[in-house]
Amino acid sequence: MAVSARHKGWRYDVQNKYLSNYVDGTEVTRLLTTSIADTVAASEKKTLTTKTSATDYTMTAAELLGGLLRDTTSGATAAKLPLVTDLVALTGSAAGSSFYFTYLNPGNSTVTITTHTGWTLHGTMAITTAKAQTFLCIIDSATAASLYSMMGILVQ
Amino acid sequence: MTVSSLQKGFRYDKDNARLSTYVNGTEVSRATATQVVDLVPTLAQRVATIKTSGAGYTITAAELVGGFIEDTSATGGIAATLPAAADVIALVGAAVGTSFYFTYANPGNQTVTITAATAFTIVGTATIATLNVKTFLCRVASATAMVAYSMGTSVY
Repeated sequence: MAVSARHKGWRYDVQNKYLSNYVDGTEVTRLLTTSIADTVAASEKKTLTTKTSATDYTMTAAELLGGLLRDTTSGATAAKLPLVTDLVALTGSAAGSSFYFTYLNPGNSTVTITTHTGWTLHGTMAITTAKAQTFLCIIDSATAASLYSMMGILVQ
Repeated sequence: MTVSSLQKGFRYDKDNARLSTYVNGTEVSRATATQVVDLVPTLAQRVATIKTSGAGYTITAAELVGGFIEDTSATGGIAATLPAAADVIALVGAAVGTSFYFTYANPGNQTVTITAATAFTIVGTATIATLNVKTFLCRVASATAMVAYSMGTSVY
């Protein structure tokens, strides 16, 4: 499919049934009914939240969605998840919507992610000192979500 | 470039050769011919698949693209075979470099081995011991082939 070097915006490929987004003639995103793919390098916004309180706290929905939380405290801490309804209100998420969240623990403590209304937790929720743990959050419904423990590595 | 607080959809920045997407005056995504940058947190549709069969099986393309499988089986070693590359490419498109992460969690009492399939090869260790979790980066290598790269294992 010939595309002008000046083309910007949408273009539909009837033969392959792709809806593509172009910037100056280059396809940068391709949408199918089954997936969306960036066809150039892609990056996304992450917001770092730093905790130093050494006391238990409840993460806000915005902090969780920000994707990166770093806790430098030196006592055992419980980090409580936000209400699922707060997360859904912030994102307007449909069931199945998901994002990754990483907790960095360079402090001298074990941090434990604890549940809140609407959550189901899968896997280990304790993050020992000098570890980073990534979690997958999946919205299951307007009032329910699941948190899956993913990769845990040493913080360098 | 001044943008109305009512702006929705595309706006092309001629000076910087970038195509931005706006929602109510907020730039939420920016694309150039070389990269796409999401300027707000992004969520992706993912499906967590739970396996309990205690026997080997072939992972479907939809399950793989769904991004997460948890296998709670408790009897003997299990082989989880990847889907054929063609089946995955049919879902995600054939643009070389298209990629996604797939995580396999094993809280069961067995070792799971991810095995290759037609035109779908694996690079790195593909066994997931009991109580471990492993993430793979799956990448379209050509219009007909895919590669899964092991990204390491950690405790689930």
